[in-house]
Amino acid sequence: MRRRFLSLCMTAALCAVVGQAWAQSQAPEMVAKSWPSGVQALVDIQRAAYELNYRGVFTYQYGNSMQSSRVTHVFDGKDVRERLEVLDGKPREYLRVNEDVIALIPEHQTILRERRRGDWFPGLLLSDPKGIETYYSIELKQELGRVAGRNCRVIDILPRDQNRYGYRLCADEQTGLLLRARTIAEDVQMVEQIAFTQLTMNPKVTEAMLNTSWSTEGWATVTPVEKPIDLYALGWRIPAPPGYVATLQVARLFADDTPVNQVVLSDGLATISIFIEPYQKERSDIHPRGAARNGSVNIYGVQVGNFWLTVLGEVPAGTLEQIAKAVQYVPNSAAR
Amino acid sequence: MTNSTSLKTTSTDMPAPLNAFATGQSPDETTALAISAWMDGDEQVDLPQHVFKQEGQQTWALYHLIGDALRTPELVAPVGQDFQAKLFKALEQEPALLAPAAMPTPVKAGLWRQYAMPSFAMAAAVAAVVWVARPFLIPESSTARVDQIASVSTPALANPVVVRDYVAAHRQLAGPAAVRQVSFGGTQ
Repeated sequence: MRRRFLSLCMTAALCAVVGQAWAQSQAPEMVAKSWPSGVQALVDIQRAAYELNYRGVFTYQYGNSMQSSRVTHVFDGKDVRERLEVLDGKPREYLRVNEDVIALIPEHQTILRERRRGDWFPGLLLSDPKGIETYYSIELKQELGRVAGRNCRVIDILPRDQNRYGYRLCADEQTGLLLRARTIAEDVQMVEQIAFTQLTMNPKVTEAMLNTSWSTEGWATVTPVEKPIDLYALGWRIPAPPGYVATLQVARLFADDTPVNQVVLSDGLATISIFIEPYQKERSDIHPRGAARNGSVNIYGVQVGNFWLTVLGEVPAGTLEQIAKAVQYVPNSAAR
Repeated sequence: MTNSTSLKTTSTDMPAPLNAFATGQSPDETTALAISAWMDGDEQVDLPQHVFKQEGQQTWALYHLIGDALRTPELVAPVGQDFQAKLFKALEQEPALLAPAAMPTPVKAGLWRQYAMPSFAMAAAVAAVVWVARPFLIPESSTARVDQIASVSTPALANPVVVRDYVAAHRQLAGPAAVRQVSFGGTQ
């Protein structure tokens, strides 16, 4: 009897030790992240997207459309490697090593060099976020959400004026990884959302998971022609709504070599593209004139002199109209 | 009418159930609406019992055929020059699909989704070679066809595919929490 008691004690002690060790090994995972307030929370989300290791499937939904992608992201403390496979529609794959991104387009046997962007899900921010709080209020909610089987911290990003939508984020409670982002219009309509449906943190990633299964031998490699330009110097006056700054101005080419200029305005979260191209009757007449909409994107088309402007973005329609109607072309001032 | 080999013809001549919807006069409308809504995942709609009857089964098969064709473009037989010209004519007559002010409500919404989609997809297949904003380099082969077909029609209305190309071009460089997508060749 006594011996039995002793062995029971020992078993219990052993269990306690093992249990403690187990708890310790789990500790970094189990402890909830302490969330900073305001814009710092967004910075943390951005960092998590970069520094964590994860593999999962996320779904992008807008209007009646839905598209799923599988992402595998590995950070070894120095370099980032990432593979993204589009699972619906035509096969597409994106392979990333640090800032180099290539897109594989199997049906054209083409490799396309892409511009690396910080706001690719589960990243969020296109540019420096420090000005964001001027135009949005950022609220961390007390209640937790749940996405892809994980608890997540709800963060509301509310616009302070009419020139942008709001966002409701849910970021992993433990790691800060963005699990779901919803774009919310003023009338509390969900414009679009992107969310993980399945996620594994710190997965065992094999080399095969990071490499494409397509044999790309003999494929053409294409670098899109994008020439930086200065539209102001060319005579364009584009009054941006408060908070928006031009983050990119490039000249691109259509398939028939017609030049088109694209300006990207961003307030850090919302983005607007303005396409400027020469007005050509047969072509511009099939462009949207006035206000239009495509899925989550609002569009406004207008003729300015001998040019056609297409202004679009995931922002309220009124903001686009305001920009489109205010754009001026003053060629004489080009020389300044 | 609703067997799989009729896909080629369904593109040009609307099959009876579609026409019926367009006019809203089919006696089977309720059944078809319900099937459509159910397929769209509308939780408030139970699978209509009529689906087990002959007309219901035809509608059921047709809708799935449409869905399959939409999801897998390879399933659809290539269409001829004639079809493209005809479709563009038809598109010209269409009211702008581009900016629906609001989705029609409850059950009808499901219907709308079913039918807005094919026309979009068909327009995509055609206009991809008519005029496309391809901000990326495209293999030479397509250029000749662009000119040729562009002369066939000059629609006065905004072309949904053109719009989509701008959207794709926008998304390539910007967009909140954007998906990565490439508008290569203009169609998705």
